[in-house]
Amino acid sequence: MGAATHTTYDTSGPRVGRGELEAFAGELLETVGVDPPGAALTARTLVHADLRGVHSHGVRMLPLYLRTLANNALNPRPTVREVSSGPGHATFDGDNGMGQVASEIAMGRAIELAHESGVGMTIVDNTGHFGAAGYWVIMAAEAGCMGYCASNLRGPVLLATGGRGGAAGNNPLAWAFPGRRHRPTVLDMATGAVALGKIAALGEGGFQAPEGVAADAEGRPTRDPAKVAFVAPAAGPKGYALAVVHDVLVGALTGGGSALQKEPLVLGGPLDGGLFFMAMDISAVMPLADFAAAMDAQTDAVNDLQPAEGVDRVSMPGQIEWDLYDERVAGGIPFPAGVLDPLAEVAAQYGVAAPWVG
Amino acid sequence: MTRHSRMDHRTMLTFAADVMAAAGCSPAEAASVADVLVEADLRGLFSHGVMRLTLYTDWIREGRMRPGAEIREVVSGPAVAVLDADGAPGPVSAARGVDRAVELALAGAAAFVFVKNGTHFGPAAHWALRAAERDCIGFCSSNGGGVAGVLAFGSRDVALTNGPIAWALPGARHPALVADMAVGAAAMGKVRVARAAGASIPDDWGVDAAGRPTTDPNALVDLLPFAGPKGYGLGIVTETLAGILAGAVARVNRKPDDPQPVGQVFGAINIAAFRPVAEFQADVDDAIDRLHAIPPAEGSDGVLAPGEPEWRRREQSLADGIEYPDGLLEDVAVTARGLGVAPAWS
Repeated sequence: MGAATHTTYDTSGPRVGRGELEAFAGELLETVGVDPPGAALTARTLVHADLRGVHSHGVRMLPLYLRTLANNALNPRPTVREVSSGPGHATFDGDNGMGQVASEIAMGRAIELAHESGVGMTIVDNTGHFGAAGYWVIMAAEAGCMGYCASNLRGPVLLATGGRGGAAGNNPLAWAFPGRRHRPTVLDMATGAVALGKIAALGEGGFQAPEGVAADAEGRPTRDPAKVAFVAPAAGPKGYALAVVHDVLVGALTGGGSALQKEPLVLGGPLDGGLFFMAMDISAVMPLADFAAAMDAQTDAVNDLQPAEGVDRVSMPGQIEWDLYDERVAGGIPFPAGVLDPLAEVAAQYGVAAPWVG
Repeated sequence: MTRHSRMDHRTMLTFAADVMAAAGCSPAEAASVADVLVEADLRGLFSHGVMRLTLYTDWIREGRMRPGAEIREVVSGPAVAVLDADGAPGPVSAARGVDRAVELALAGAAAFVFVKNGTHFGPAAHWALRAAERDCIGFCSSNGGGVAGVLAFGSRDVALTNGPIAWALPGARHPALVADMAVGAAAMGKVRVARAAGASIPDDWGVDAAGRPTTDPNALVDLLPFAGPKGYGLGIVTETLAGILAGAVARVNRKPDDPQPVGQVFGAINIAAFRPVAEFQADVDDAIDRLHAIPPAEGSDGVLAPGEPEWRRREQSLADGIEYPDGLLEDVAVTARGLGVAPAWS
């Protein structure tokens, strides 16, 4: 980690406008039975990730969503139900629908509770994938709150420290804080050293996985993408502790269990997800304007630090993604080569024309 | 070099309390500080244990740590509070902060208490565990101290203090699951150990005065964040929660010679608001059992749950005494004698 490197963005694939991509994704989801509001919301959150350069959580996810829906392993028309509630908290059942549908309701409720009493916390059991965790904490920051969220799913793909098997999911943790001149500061991180999807993409390109980030089904280190079954935790025991604690936190609060306690993951099968959302109203602690000014000052000072070699500007967490967002809202989303090909194929099967094809 | 191995923890509790009392703490304050420091030693976290008595008593003499300071609640809400510790000994204000967070959480769901003008409070896990003992999920962070800063990701300059961030989840059969980590790639304590041993360090721990990665522990000036953008990102979360929200200043906005204002945050989640506590604890226990059942990697004695190595060390230290590393207590002995307290081991 000595030489700092930033992600370089491959933009050699098709360029697609935000509006046409959202319309396409929404139409495709409706074609397989998702109700229009759920389809529009899911499309919006996926395209939001692509706008921020987080393609791993963008429309690239759609083929898997569609396959899961086609397998009847995901409910296209969920009724998200509030199971219980009290001062500062609420618990929801996601009706095995898309995580985005439950997340908008549950983070919305956490924000409402935070505005009432300072802190709101909600959890969701029985749901699908919720997209990029960052989207939900940004929602809190835009409402003047600190946002904090975590999720879990089937599939303990994160290697145990000192073990030959999985200990937790490679789950995300996310926080966001509002600024004023600057957009929200957003930390959205997985607890693994790398995403399995990124290793698969390396394999598709004929590359090896980096040293020390992945293991085969027997838990032995491997660089061969075809053999990779587990990812190593980020920074060893630190990533392991963050992963296990949050996986169990979500699982033991919802009753849905951690990845080690859930049924095994089958690709295209149910995910059995659990979600946790927290919002804290900044104005319950200090005037929001003072806080936002202090965040802006922190961002300005970070931007003024001397960059390492090969780095243009030292950034706050999430700031590079916001720069991309602004560029791409205006000029369309330049995708990496090949990322959209499987999606175009699936769309063609459902008779939906991909806007970047032909 | 004298060897002081195997000290009974009760002896050390009395000794540490005597030193703090001699430095001006009330009996209750002295006991509170002693408890935290000896707990750290029991867990093998010597850099946060009684060796800190030297620093604490220096701070008292300099007026940076103020025994008897009145801790005032300056912001009160149903789920949020801000305490001004006015330089009270860190363990005293931290205990107040956690207890207030637990009280607010148990009356609702989740609560945060921010402490401004705090001082060093020992291991962060200690305070997350204090909440976990009262049927809550505990959380704690500090924008803490240490001489070394942590670089921003992608920069040659410091943006962060090497602050800790910790969570604790209570089990029943098993002790709590604990995550407690500093945002830097290594603790300065480990760098000091390498200096003393004349050993080299991995090149991803920190940089020299010119900002270049170094394997020489004596040349290390600042630390790198752990896992690059991840440790850096958590560090910004820490600077924001325990710095800005606790009425302090984010590290990157601080002048180099500013005295260090320490801020802290304590969070608690009332488990019973979501699930019967016994069911939650049974799930935590079951998760730990499943971790134990993972086949060990080559050269490993088995998979341990996060926090478990420290719990095991504590059990052993309670039974056999705390085994202090050679020489670790020598400075403390000098400090104690200077205050008229005879070291328990001489």
